[in-house]
Order: sequence, then structure tokens, then C-alpha cells
Amino acid sequence: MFRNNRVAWFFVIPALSFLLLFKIWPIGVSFIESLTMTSFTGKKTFVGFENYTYLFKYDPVFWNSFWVTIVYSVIVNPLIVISSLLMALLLNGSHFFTRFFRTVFFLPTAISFAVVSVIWMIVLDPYYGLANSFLTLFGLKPQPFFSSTAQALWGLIMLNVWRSSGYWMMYFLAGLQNIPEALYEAAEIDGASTLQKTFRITLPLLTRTMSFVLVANTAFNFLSFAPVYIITKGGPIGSTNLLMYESYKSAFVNLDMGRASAITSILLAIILVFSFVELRLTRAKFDY
Amino acid sequence: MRRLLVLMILLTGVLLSATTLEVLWMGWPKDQVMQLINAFKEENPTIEVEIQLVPFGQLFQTIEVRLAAGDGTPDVFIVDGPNNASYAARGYLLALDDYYTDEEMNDWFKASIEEGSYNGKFYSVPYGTSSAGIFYNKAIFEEYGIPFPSESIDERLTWEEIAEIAKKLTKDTNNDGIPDVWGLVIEQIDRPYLLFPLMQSLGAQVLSDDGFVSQGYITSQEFVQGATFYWKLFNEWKVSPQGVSDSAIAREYFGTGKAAMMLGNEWNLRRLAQYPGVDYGLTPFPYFEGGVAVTPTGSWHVGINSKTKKLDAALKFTKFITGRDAVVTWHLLNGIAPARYDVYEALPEVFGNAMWQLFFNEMENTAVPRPVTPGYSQYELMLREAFNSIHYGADPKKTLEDAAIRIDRELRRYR
Repeated sequence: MFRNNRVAWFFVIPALSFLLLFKIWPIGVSFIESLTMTSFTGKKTFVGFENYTYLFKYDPVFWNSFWVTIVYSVIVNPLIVISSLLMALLLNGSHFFTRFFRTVFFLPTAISFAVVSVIWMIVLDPYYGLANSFLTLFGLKPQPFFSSTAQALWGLIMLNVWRSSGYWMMYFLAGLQNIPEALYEAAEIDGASTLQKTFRITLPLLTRTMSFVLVANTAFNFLSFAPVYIITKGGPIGSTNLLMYESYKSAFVNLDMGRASAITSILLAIILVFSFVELRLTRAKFDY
Repeated sequence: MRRLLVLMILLTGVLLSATTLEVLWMGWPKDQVMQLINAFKEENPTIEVEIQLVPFGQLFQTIEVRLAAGDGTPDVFIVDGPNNASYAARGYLLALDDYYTDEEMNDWFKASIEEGSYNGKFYSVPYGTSSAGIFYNKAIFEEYGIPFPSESIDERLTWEEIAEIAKKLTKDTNNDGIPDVWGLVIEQIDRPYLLFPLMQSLGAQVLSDDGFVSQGYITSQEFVQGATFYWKLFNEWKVSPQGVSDSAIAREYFGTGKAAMMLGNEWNLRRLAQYPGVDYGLTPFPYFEGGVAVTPTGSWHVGINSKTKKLDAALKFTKFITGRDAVVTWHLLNGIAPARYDVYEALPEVFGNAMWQLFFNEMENTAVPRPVTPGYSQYELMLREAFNSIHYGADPKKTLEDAAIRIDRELRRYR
């Protein structure tokens, strides 16, 4: 390492100061905000943890949001990671078609979440959407999609998987390309099958990439907002009322910054817990 | 050299003596708004107007942020009718009783004055208003042999009758399980603005007189009864499509012949022009059998900042922009329904037709403004979510009771 620690600090300070100023400081301000209550005349009073106790003890809407968010995360995160990993494994070649499909699968990332949401809203319209036209063409029953409490959340999940998989696939591809060919050749000489190669060489050596993808993806998905805001607005009957949307409503419609900040602080805590667990699970058990 | 200096000092003096009025306005098209601003500048050359146009989606947030700064600007700003109480209660608006004579007050619809008042004082000047009715597709009615509903205000149909017609006109012609023609589409499917008249027709009061309590009002028997009728439209009779999330989408249904009737606002008289294929008629806003006829109303107002340092200029601008000539020009540019009587008289070629006459009649006689409360935006959002849940099938009584608890908690902060 550096002989002189002070030099190391000079290299780190620019990035660190940005991080502190634009990330840590706002988090701190937001947390302080969550400890206050603002009367509608604009006066702020310090109320300690009252916002939190209200949320946890008396607010059924918050609990509904909480569980909807947890369920959403528990389903969408594995789905995205597994699908992007599979795509990366399949498309890790230099064939024309593999390269072509890599591009095709990556394309949804070029579309912003807002636009993706509008497109899906139109395609999955229960009465005149493309999806239902397709289903009825084959004699299947038209589905209510975003109009049904049972299917709306799944609609959001699928939207997210469709849009995000290509993006994370790229990270896995990069990780795959870092694995030295020599290892595979050595394994082949020892008579390993493709499956053994995947499970004994590829996956273990992807642990670092997996770690990054898992944590970044989880954090990002907890903050899902655009599809809810554009398509479902938390409905129907609260079945897609993710925490971020609930916080948005508190902040910008109800002008209740205290409750909004409390929700985002809780969200931050949840993300930290999940990230910690995921980092532990994907710890590289060997040095490479 | 010295002459140049004197000239510069004189110029600065002239510039400083001109007042600059800061106006925060709704994001209507700039070229339209500038026509009015330029007309004002012609009449008032010493008043510079700096106007900021903010799109609807960010307007209310911008107003909140700027008024919270408390520096007296913007001097004049646009006020959405139901927010009048909220701004007045927080002291953002200047009381205008001293600056308007009784004669001037007679220029506006009573409902508009009510909307612009709070606690007995007049705070924001009516700029526009609104009304609603049921538009119906003549071709669909003819195709299925249903007689046209009357266009006369004296022969208003009841909601029960409308429901019957809607049932007869919801058709699934190709048997794929999805209706190809819906009986009724509601332009703003879950907005309290359009749905209050149903409950009010049954005699319900939608909020306490002091504007702080919804428990007992939105949970009253009459209100639940109205909400149950609304629930049935989507879930029992299935005459109306669920999830129509935007008024443009509702208009698309009606304009392309996928809906026989549309419950919609007066602005459709202009906006349906983009669907030249639909030959439509207008029938008055329905009421419940045995109940009262009620129509929704209200729109934009203009308010003066209570801390403004340019009161004179602000008053001149406000009186100009809400005056007869400016509103006439504005209607021709933008189509907003005027809140002034004399504008209707000034444009007989526009307002003379039977549909505008119907709306005018409603605005004068059956219009009930939205409830006055400082917490209107919270009240409206939560009630709107409740209506949204109800139209997707949630039980009306339980949903309204849950909503009332949450609304009252929010409104409690305003006492």
C-alpha cells in the first residue's frame, strides 16, 4: 500500500467529498426531517420518533405498502438476477447471432422507465390492449392485468424484469470474460461436463459480479417509482402501493414531509439490511 | 462625457420607476398568454410584467414553494378554485373585499364567488368555471333504437334512467368477452369533482361546514348510497370500463364510437372536434329519483399575494386579466368557460348554441362548488383513491370509512 497514508487521502478526498455532500448529507437532513412535524403554516416542531410510531402502530396503509414492497422485492430480485445470468451464460460467445441477441436483449435499457411504463400500460390495457387481442386470437380468456389486484403486481414485476435483465446481463458478461480460458481447458482435460464446468468454475468465479449485481439491483428495485406513478397509482385497491410511491404522496400531495422522510428512512434501513445479508451470502470463499 | 453620465442616471431613474410585476401563471401556451400580457402593457406602459408559466403537473408544488418563501412575490398568481381556502387560511392571499364594489361582484356566478371566498372574505377573483353533462353518440342510439335523451334542462334524466339506457347500450358484438360498445364512460373516472354531484343529489353533505371533518359526511347513508350506485356501474351492471386513467382516454372511447355516453366537462365541446366522425348530443347532468339536481363547477381564480409590495400594479393587472375584454380574448384563444356573465353576452355566436346555453343554465342554477377546506388537496387525493378502489370492486362502505379516518387525520393538522 501507500508508504504515506496522507497521500492516499488526497487521492480519495475529491470523490469522498462528493459522496458526503450529495449523498450522506441529504440522508442526514432527511432523517432530521423525519423527526419533525410541519404544521400547514410551515412551522416545524421537533417530535422525536412520533412519525415512526404513527407509521408502525396506527397506519394500515403503511403496513400494506411495506408488505407489498417486500413481496415485490423478494420476487423481482431473484427473477432479474437469474434471467440476466442465464442470458449472459447463453450469450457468452462471439457468434454473429449471440452478439446480435446480446444487443437485442440490452435494448430495453435504452428506454427510460417512464416510457416503458406507458408502453406496457397500453399493451396490457384490459379492453383494447395488444396482449388481450393476442390471447383472444388463440381462444384464451382476456386478462384484467393492471385492473386486477391479483395480477397488477405481477405486471409490474414482469415490466421490471423485461427492462432490467439486459442491463445486468452486461455485468455478468463482463464477469464471465474475466474468467481465464485456461481453467476451462484444464477442466476439459479432466473430463468435466458442461454442467460441471458451469457449477464448479463459472458460478464460483462470478461471485464478485453476483455480489455487485445482487446488491445494486436490490437497492434499485426498492426505490421503484415510475411504473407505479404512471400505470397503477398504487392501485387497484393498494395492491401495488410500493413504499416509494407512498412516500411521494406524503411529500408532494399531502405536504407531510415528516411522514415522507420517515418512510424513506425506513426504506433505507430495509435496503441496508438486505444488502448486508446479500453481501454475506455472496462472500467469495477464496481469493482470486 | 458628463452628458453621457447624466443620460445614464436619467435612464436608470426611468427604469427604476417602472414597476415590475411578477406573475405566476398556469402553463398555458405562451403565445396565447402573451397576447393578453401585451394588451395589458399597451394600457399600462409603466408596468412591466414578468410572467412565469408552469405546467399543470408542477404548478401547485411551485406555488407552494414560492409562497412559502414569504418575500411578497409572486405578486399575482393563479389559484385553482378548491385551493383558495388552503392559501387563504395560511395567509398567502390578500383579502379583496375593499377593492371590489358590489356592482363588480355581480359580474360573476354566485358559485364562483363562493369558491373564491373563505371565512366570509373574498380572496381570489373568478377567472374560469366549469360544468358537466352527458354527451351521447346519436349514431349508437339510433342503431339500437333508443330514443335520444332530452337536451332540455327541464327534462333531466334520472341516474336510474341513465343506468337503464347504459345497460341496453353495452354490447359485445363479437362475443369475445369484452364489450365493443360501453354504455357509459366517465371522463375523470375517480375524481371527486365529477362524482360529488351524485351524493349531493341524494342530499349528502360531503364535508363538515368547518372543513375539518369527513367522518359522518363521506360515511353518511346518502353518500354510501351514491357510491354504491357508482360501484354498480363497474361491477354489477358492467356498463362502464374500469381503469380509464385519463380524460383523453375517455374521450377516445367516446370519439371512436366505443362508448354510447360520456359524463364529461364543458371543454369537450372544443376537444371533441378532434373526432369529426362522432355526431353527438348533450343531455343535462342526471340526478337521482326524488333528489336534487346538482352539477359540478369551479375552475381557475386569480389571487394577489398578501405580502405584495406592488399592490397598485397587482390590482390593475388582476382587474384587467379577469375583466370582460381579456376574458373574451382568452375564451377565444383557450376555450375556458368564463366565470363572468357579460362574456356570455358578448359572444352570442359562441354561447348562443343550445349546448352552451345548457351549461350556462347549470352554472347559474344547479352548480354546487367543491367543499371549502384548507386541506382540500389531501382530502381530494384520499377520496379519489377511495373512489378508485370502489370502482375496481372494493366495498363502498368499508372503503369510505377507512378513507374518512385517514382524511380526518390529515385535516386535523389544519385546525
